[in-house]
Amino acid sequence: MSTFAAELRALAERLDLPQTVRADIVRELDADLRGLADALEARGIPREEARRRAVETLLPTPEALARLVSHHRPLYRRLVDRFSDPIRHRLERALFGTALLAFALAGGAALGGLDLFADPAAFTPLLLGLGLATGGLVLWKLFQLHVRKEHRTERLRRGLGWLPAIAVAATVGSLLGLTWDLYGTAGRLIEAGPEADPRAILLAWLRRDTAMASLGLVVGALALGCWLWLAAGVARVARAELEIERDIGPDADESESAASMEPQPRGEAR
Amino acid sequence: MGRAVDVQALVRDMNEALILAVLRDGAKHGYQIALDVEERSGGTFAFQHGTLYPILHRLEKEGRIEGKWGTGEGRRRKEYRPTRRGHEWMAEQEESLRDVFGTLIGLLEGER
Repeated sequence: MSTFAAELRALAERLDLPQTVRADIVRELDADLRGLADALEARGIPREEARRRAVETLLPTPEALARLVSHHRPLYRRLVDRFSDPIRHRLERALFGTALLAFALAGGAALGGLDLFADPAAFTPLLLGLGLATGGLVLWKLFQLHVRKEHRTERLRRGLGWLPAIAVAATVGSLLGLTWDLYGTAGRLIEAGPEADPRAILLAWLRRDTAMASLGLVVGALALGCWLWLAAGVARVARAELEIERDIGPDADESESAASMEPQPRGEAR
Repeated sequence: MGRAVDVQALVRDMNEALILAVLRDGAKHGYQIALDVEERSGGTFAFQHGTLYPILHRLEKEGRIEGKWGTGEGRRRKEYRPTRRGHEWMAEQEESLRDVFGTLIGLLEGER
């Protein structure tokens, strides 16, 4: 546990940066604060005074912290931070909408070769909807993780649990669709009478429903794969957060003394 | 007539030169840099309130110093050393700072 727990926790809260960068900055500050306090103590300065001077020398003021953060801000943040929050949110929504539309168009073009739309099975629209939802969710999470480089794990985890649910729904949906249509096909065969060609009816069912089942299984596999991949990314962020917590540790005994040690701005090297 | 001095740039260059000057002895942790600058300048220069870190991280980003994580006393610590680019910059800066302060001193002595 750090003897500078309260100061480091306050610092970590103000560091709005990717988690790995936050962890490195806190770790560097922690080691340096201890190093300087020890070095001053070794020069005969009383422990509390050494600690106070270490904080005064090394703990960044809000201005210094803002400059430090500016050197590590991800490219996307550097581009959009000049806008106000409502404009930035609108911009993000527009970008997301465009990306989702592009995904839907690309997906539609790729599926155009199949008989999904000409003679759709009963569950095809549902599975296409699940595919679109998967695409949207994955695009949003990739944006949060790799473009915005979000460090708040609760935000990253929000909505992620829908992906395994979609995987299950798509797989179950494709199997249900198969049996549902098989039931309907059997009905058509009975209604058609002995003159009808049962081979043609069965082949039409097979063609329609294997395409639908393939779509469902692909959506299910993609949703599951993307969930595992994204969850691993979120776990890396959470691990870095845990490392910060582990390094800092509980600070119940120190918060009071730390609060009185907040440095006042005095400028750079004089 | 020489080029006019940008005071903000001069302060930034001085801070960077102070850091690179103490790093000439070898790799140092952030706190050692702060301590060395203060001690070697007899207290004339001192980094206070964490102003050291934005400068260190900028120098690192620009490739003038190199930060490396090592382990000491059972915990990870970051230490910095100058790069070749940093040494070259420092050589240029020495000359430039001498010029600027030489001019300033000349001006002050002339007015005495």
